[in-house]
Amino acid sequence: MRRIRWGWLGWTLAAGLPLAFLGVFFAWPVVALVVQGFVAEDGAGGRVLDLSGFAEVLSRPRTWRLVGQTLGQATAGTALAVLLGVPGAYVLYRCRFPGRTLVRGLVTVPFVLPTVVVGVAFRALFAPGGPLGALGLEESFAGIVVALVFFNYAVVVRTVGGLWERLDPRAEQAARALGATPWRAFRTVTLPALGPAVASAASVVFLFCATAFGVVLVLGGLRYGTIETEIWVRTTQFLDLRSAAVLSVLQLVVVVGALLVGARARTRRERALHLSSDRSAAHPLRLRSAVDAVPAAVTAAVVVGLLVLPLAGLVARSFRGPDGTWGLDNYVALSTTGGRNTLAVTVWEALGNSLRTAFLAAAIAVVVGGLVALVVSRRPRAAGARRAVGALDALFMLPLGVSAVTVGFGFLITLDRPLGLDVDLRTSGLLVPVAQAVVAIPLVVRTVLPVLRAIDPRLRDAAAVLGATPGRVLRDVDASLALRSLGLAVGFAFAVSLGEFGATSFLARPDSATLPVVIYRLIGRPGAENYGMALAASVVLAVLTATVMMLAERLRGDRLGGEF
Amino acid sequence: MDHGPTGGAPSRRSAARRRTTAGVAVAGLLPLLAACGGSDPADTDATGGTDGVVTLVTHDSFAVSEDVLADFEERSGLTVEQVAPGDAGTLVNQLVLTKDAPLGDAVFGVDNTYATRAVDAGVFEPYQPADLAPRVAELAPEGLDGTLTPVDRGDVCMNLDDTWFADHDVAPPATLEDLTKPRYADLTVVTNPATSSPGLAFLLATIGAFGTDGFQDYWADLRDNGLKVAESWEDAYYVDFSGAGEGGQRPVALSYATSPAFTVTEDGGSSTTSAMLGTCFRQVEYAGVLAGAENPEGAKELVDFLTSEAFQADVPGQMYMYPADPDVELPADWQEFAPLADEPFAVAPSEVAEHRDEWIEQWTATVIG
Amino acid sequence: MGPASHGGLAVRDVVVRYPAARGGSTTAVDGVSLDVAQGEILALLGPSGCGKSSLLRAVAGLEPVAAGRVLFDGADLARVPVHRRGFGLLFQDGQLFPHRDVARNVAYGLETAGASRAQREARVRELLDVVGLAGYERRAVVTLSGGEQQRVALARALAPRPRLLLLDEPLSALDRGLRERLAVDVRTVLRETGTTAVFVTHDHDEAFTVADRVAVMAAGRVLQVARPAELWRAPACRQVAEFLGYQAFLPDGDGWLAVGPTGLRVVQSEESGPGVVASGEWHGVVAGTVLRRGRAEATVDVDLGAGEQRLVAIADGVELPEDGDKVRLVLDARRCAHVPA
Repeated sequence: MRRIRWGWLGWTLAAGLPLAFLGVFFAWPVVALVVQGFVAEDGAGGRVLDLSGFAEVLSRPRTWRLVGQTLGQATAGTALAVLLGVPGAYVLYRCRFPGRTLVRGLVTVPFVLPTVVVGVAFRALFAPGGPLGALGLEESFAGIVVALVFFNYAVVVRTVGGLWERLDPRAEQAARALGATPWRAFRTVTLPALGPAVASAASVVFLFCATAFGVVLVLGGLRYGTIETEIWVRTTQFLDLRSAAVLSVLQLVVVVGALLVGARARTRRERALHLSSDRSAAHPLRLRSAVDAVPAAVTAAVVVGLLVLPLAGLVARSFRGPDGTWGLDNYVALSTTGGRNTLAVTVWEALGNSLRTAFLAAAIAVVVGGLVALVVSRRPRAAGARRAVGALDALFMLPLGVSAVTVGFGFLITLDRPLGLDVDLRTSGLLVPVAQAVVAIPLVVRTVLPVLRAIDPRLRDAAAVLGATPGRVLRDVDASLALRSLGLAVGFAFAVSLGEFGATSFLARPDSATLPVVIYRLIGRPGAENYGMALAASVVLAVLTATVMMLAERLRGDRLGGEF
Repeated sequence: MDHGPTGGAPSRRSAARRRTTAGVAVAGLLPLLAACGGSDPADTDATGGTDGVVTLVTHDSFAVSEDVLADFEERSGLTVEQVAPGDAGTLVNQLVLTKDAPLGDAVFGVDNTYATRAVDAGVFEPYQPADLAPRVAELAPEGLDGTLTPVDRGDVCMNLDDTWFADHDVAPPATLEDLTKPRYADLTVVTNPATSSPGLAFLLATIGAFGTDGFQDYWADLRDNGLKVAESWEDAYYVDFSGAGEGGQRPVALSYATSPAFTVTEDGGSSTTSAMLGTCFRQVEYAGVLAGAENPEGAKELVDFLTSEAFQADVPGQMYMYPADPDVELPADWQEFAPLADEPFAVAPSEVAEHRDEWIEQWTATVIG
Repeated sequence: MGPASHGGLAVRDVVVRYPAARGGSTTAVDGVSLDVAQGEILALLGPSGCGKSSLLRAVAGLEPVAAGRVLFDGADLARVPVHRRGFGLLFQDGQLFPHRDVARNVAYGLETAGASRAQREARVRELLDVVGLAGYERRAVVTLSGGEQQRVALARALAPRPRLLLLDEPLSALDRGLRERLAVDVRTVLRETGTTAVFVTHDHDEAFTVADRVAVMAAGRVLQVARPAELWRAPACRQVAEFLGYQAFLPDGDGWLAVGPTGLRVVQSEESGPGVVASGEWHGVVAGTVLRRGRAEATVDVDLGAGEQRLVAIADGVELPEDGDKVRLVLDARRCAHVPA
């Protein structure tokens, strides 16, 4: 029996370390802040639980309007992202054409751009007098939805594309041979096979949309708030922790609902994975046939209209100098601290900070996320343990669904003496990569997990019988097979932490500001020079991100992976 | 794991043990994090043992010339650490939240719209530099002198795109009332007082001008005259304001009195924008010593430094604010293009503290509906 | 069977349980005892779901044993983890490591045992030779056919010279011709290498080709363990006989007379050759005929005394009947067995 106990110890540690990490750097801060909202002074100097905030907040019509708008824009954003993303997945993962890698990298860029830059870029497009001003999207529901699709298109394309690429084409061929039209074959054979991946992508996109903040604030104007923006306003502006706590609980309900749906869908997807073939089933893009031409046209329209146009406006503007002439002035200025010394560091120094931070964050995220994926990939014999593993999976998705302001303010009230240790982490520069890692971990888990789950457990048995110790099985089977997806995971974690702004803005110290923080600061100052520099810095960030993602894409090689 | 007794006490004990295991794992991680904190010894040293370090909690707009700071550090023997956990609007709330375990020793950046809330919450330890000039001291909020020390000031005003008015041959507006006239319909953009601190300042300007009874009517008129409300300053200024040169369509935008100094033409002879000095609200930013500071003596020295001549002279070039000390000489283009308002609107800080949330809700109800 | 105090595998009253979907558990192996002597090949034969694979996995250490003991060379294996048992395991679908080439797959067990590079290379070459894949060292495993993959898996399992080789339906995924050839090859390889082996299969032809002795399992229990010929001659019970392919059962004293798959013959009108049971003669109607391996078989509807049944009768040496013909049928005593009730 000793072996079994050692095994338990190993797995307990593997689950315990990530849980402890999540507990200290996410759950505890969030719970502590929410609890403050539910605690009131009892008049005698003591504190009592006070849940009257629920009745008060829930009886406000405004609350329900916000809930409605949150659900409405998230549903519309998710539906449109899926509708446009599925043809995109087909074109970018099922067809081959020159420049495909570049386009795949390009669609990921919006995902990590600082929202303040994206918001301004989109408003510049939508504003009266802007290139798309005639569409009347400014301060409209449609405008928000368009921007949400801009951010989340890549999620759908990658998640669905990753599976589609491996889907055995013979099932669809069989349907065609039985007389089905291409559309009917797609609808009755391919789509059901893709269903779980689509549902899984949809749940993640829903999560992102439901908690979108900056873009809603900038593009939605005053009429379109969400639970997230309300939490931000209530917390940072009014210090109304009572309302914020109730809203946080409401948000959690929405998020957990989305996660439950997603978890169910993902479980079904793993079964679908067995249908997939080992080799890529991509074919050269054939524009003469409607089967390829229609999705290609849709994808081209999305990529050009939704991604290239806003980004191009940004890039073009970044080349216009403060004096109105075209040139590299803004890029040259990146080695300065901005007009009238706006910054404490030069933009290049900030880039260095960003890279260092992202490196650490990616390392933490991959270790912690890798452990989570490893634990979650197992199917324990006992039903209780199986449920626990499923809960662990969902738990690590929560950071995507909880407001950054709640986490950031939570850090302030909890990490002054974490676990009673005399280490004030709040003012330590190391909290920044930790906070970024918390956000990147879910993406690492979603990337590595499908690969680990697709490993036949008997492959591990085979290694064990051949004399491999449990540790060696992990190394020779799990790690070896997950290695390439781990490359993609590192890329994602790196890119996400490069772009992370929410939590970072509460933690970054002036002398160690990251690129997004610097961009935010530059754009927050009047002067054509600062604005130009902000855009040039955004372009640098975008190019860096696209490069990282393209490198990761190469590392991905021919293995499965890439689910968000 | 499931072979143990299922009684309440033992299972609770084992849960506690698991928690301990998890705790130990993280406890192991934390010193590691602290250890790789890098070259800066003050990074993680919160023990208070080093008198040489003083931590300034501020917002992300704080800036000081390197040589001015270095000079102070050399003279005082202190090392100044900066912590900027967000923008000006969130600073006070963060201070209130962390008052039992302050983020540092001294604070800079609490302004007159939030000051009372912070003081009432017991964030500060009373202190004022002994040799504070009376003209500076009088800038302190009523009843709060001795706790907060004024460091800089500035005006939030409507800005005009003078070029636009010249091109369209329209006489520029001058007063708050002008903005409600049909002639200026659809020309104005402001920011949301709920999410932006200039927006709040301008709301207070209208309360100062029209009183608590009249401001809602004024905003209703503004609204009916085609007012545009943006969520943030950068949004209003760069996207909507025509004077920023980024394709905006509105020639009247909420910004700062200092903003015109940034739109001075190439030859330096004129500015393409100007501030409407009859629409301003005066913001004053304060410094103070935090209650529960690890290094209160250092904090006092730091507050002294912020009111010193060297720092005051550095304020315009670094923070785009006017120094609190009126005797400090201002940059030439400020004197010409960015003067302070002679008679800005004012609302007592205690009034602001008491009614701020209520006014914002009333504003929201009026303007957004 | 006495306890195995000497070499080889001994399984004693082993029980394997799986947790059921809604609490509780299902018993896959229900108190099985078996012995496999040094160098012997034992087949575990039974229909799918009878617990034979679970028993194999329990012996390998991949499933916990709920009760009973597994011993090897007299030593209890309860505390010996999978990787220290020194056993080999061959899966139905090979389970080759997709990220390793053929040679590195075969060498894996040698690597874990810490063999030197030279030793590994020599052993890999030797085994690829044994399984007929000389020169395949650097091939990627995904480029191999199913049969080749299975040979590589066999070489991989044999490379570290396992004390006991466990084969879990190793040939089931292959097509028939290949399966029969490979079954003989497996037997040859195991014999040549003197390997002790337990071979799980649901195909009695395969079991009889490879094994020295066969254990028939049903519903988690062992019904009979015997050499192939003995098993054929004297099935321990009707269930074993049915599984072996005995097609009809006639009351016979205190038991049954089981009619083997070739125990019924179509005869010419007055024939009564050697071995023919003189006491019985029936008439049946031909429903169809087929030539199997060059031998004529007729499917007939006949009532042997237990109601009309559709049975197979050998029609060698007679004129091939047409469908619908009425034929005379007799039993071949050498192809029938007495089964106790």
